[in-house]
Amino acid sequence: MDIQLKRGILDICVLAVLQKEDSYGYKIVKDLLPFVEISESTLYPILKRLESSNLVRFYQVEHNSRLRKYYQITEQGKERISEFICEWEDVMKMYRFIKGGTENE
Amino acid sequence: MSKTEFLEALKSRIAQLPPIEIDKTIAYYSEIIDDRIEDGMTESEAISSLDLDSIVSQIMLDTPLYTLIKAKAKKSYAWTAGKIAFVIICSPIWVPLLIAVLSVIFALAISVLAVIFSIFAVVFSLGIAGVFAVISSPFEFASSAGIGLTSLGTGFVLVGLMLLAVYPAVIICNLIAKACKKLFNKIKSLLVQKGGILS
Repeated sequence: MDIQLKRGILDICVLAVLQKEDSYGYKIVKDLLPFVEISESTLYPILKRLESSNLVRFYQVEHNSRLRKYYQITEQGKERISEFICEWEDVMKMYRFIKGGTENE
Repeated sequence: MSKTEFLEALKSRIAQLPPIEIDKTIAYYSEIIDDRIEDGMTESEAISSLDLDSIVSQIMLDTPLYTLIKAKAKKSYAWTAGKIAFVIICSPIWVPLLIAVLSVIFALAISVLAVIFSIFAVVFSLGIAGVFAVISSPFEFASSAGIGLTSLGTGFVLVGLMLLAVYPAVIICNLIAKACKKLFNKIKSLLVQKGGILS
């Protein structure tokens, strides 16, 4: 898959996980793994990017005598998901057109 | 490799990043390892599946080049009188070199923009010429029906050519933009790799 496209989709996948509940790095990867190929090292730059674009914010919670960083989706993040869903309708139309074209060959 | 050893190795490999970025990265991977262990993995299992090389290259490629250069400049240059004198004495060498490098970069950027501009100029000139040929054809009918018809036909052909050329022009411009981005990333990865000027 095109790297830029995959990158964009992964950003939305992470936002979708955070829309359900606030979460931390390891859990985000575990929640996504059944659906998407992702590792903690892939997630790190995504979280950084989402944080710098104000799509997520973080807070720290003490857990087993250490600090755990929880990420929370912002209103802008929720809007980004809605935008993606709207845009994806167009992509799906193109997909059906392309698939139809290749099947007819 | 223990957790401490892994984090030390990671820290030394990303030493060219700003200190705040180093701390954030170390905190993130420290938390990941702790969470993996808490989930039932042994310490060595938790670390062995973390690929240090790919972690480092991903972090470097996702860090803006100016951040790396700024951090490097801050770390390397404590401006003593001797260093300032050295820089001034060597200025006849490095100033022209710097100007040459900047000029090459500027020339490349202008060339790429010129290519994109010329592609669209060709496409739109086809359209404009076509429209004018169509508009002028009734006037030419007055002098000769043959010239008028030729002008009308040429106009339609030119407009048709413009419509056909728009899509390939957009594709070519996209390819040029992608190639520029790839080239920039390649240069950046050469700079941030060990042995590069930013390592």
